[in-house]
Amino acid sequence: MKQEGQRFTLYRCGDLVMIRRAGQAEAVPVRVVRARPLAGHCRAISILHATEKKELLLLESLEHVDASSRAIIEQELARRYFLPRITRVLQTRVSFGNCYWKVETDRGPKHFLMKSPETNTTWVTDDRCILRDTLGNCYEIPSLQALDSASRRRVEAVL
Amino acid sequence: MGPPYITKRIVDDVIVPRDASLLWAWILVMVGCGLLYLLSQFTGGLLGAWLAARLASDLRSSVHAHLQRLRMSYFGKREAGEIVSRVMRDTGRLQHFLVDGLPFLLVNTLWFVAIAAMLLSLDVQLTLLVLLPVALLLGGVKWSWSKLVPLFHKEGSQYGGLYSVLGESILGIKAIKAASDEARRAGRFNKTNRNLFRTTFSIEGHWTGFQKGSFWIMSLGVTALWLVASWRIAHGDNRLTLGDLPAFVGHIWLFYGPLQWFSVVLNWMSQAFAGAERIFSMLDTPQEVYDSPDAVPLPKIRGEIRFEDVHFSYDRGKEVIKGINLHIRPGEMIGLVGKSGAGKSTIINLISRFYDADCGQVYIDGHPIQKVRLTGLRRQIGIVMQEPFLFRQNVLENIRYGSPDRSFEEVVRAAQAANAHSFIVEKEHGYDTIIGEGGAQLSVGEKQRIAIARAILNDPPILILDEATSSVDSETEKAIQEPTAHLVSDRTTIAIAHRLATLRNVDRLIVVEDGKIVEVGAHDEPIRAGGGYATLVKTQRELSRVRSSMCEE
Repeated sequence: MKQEGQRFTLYRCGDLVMIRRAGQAEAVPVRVVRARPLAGHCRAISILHATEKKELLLLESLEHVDASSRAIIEQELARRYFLPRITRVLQTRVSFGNCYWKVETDRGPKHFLMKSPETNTTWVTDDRCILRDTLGNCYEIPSLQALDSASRRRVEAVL
Repeated sequence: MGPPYITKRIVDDVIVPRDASLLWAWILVMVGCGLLYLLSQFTGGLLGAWLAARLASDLRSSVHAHLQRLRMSYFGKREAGEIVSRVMRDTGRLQHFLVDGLPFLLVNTLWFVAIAAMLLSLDVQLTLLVLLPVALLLGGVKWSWSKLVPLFHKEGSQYGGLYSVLGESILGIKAIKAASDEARRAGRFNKTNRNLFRTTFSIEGHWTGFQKGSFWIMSLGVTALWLVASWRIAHGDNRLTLGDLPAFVGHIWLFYGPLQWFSVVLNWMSQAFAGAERIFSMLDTPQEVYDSPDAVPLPKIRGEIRFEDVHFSYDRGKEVIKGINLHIRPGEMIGLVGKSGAGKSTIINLISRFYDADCGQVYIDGHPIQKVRLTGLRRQIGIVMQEPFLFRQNVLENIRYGSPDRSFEEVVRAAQAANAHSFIVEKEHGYDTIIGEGGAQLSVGEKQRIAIARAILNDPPILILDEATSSVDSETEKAIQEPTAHLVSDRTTIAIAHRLATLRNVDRLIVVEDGKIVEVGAHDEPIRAGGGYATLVKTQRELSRVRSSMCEE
């Protein structure tokens, strides 16, 4: 899996992220993704061709990546996996199969609507889940047990 | 029992003598009785609910665990819907009876006896009058029981059938739509549903008849009570006061109320008993014999397989394997060919010990497979099936299925070797993507590559490819071929394939016909021999030619 020895440079070209690999004259546009985005660790970062279904590189970590490329990778990952964490649940209400949430997150307060909670909830572990609202935005409950009891009760009433 | 007695005391001590000094005391006692009753009901209900939920949960777990260890033949003869119905519906009914019925039955039996005693203390003649309909009710209970239990059995089986049709309609929706068979399918569901309706109606009819009949019988008791009690009071019977009459009427409904509810409990009880019989018939089914008493652990094997005069039949009298003798050397790649129903998959089932041979013996590395521990044997055999089964969990766990201790790095290496890694990381959640029923949609080729990654990770000395590429198009087949070649190297491989071209690289071809091995040889030897295999190849070439000419047109 380790491929960080392979030399490459990432740079921005307008909205695109380009990669130039050692020994290759042409740069190609890429997407940066995590192999396990829900696992909660930064290992296994995959650099995919932007248009072809092809993986160009798989990095176990960013340890051996040059500073500017690393910054681009980190920015891309932060943008792609923007995931507010729910710290308190103020209200949950179910009406006609839709679930209305009023929560506090680490990015501020938020109201959102989930349709069919059972299909739009991804349980990463028994204690941790990702909620997807009707607009496709995701919110994480990092630990159900770590929530205060009122919040936990409100979550358990709908999930 | 308190309120009717207090009513009597209020009438006799307060209303008749027109003395209100004891009124508040009796009212307070009445409220206290109500609170005590509420508390006992709440505590009893809570305890009953916990006990029944625990029992049903344990029962479901036991049934599921038992189910996992039943022989393959059990599943071959039953529909999935029927099994689901037993695990879920019948245990649910048992729980319902245990939560609501059993505590009710116990409490009300005591209640019934206590009120009968109270009534006897008030007036023996009137009590006997009240008890008269009870004998009739007992007869009614016996009659209903004999009718309802068989009907509940029938209803359970019909629910199983309905679940099966529904399951097929959901899982096979693509085939149904492709064949424009929606209307016929709906017709089939409606037919099963109508049968269930008739049975349910019959159950409700019997039960309603019993319930309403018992109510009428009880009302006869009340009428008789009014008649006799009023007649006695009117004729100056000093043993009966005016207060006794409302007290008796109050008690009689406390007495008949539970009796009336017994009919409801009878309904639940007969459902629960029918359900319990169905559950226990499953629990009584003998499990797969995992290890005979003299079974030994199977060490790491080289992959030698030997069949010695093996005979086998799924149904008694219909032999599907008829005396097979076969020797597969370690590391050899074998192609198993033959018409559908020739016995190819049965040979695989016998190697994996999904079934035991009727006579003869199968040996792995010289060990008779019935004399080795089953889990040890199956861990050393990998199977890639035509339609690989993926569980409703993430890609990582699906690849790691069977080797849960393997690291993420090892999983990635296996996925890379199976040409699966690229499409996995393309998914929004990568290796964390939930797949399987209700999860992300994967193409047959993607599923197949995950199954191959699973097999690579398990690294079994014996690998079985059961028509692993027969349901994919030629482009996907090409994508799978490379990882498959990687997978089969250095291990004993048995490949069943319909596309004979996919068996080009095998060391030996074994042609099976009507449960017997009829030809063995290198890929072109059976063709040269001009037997059944040569005919099979010829037919397939003809088919390919027809297909390509149709495409050109």
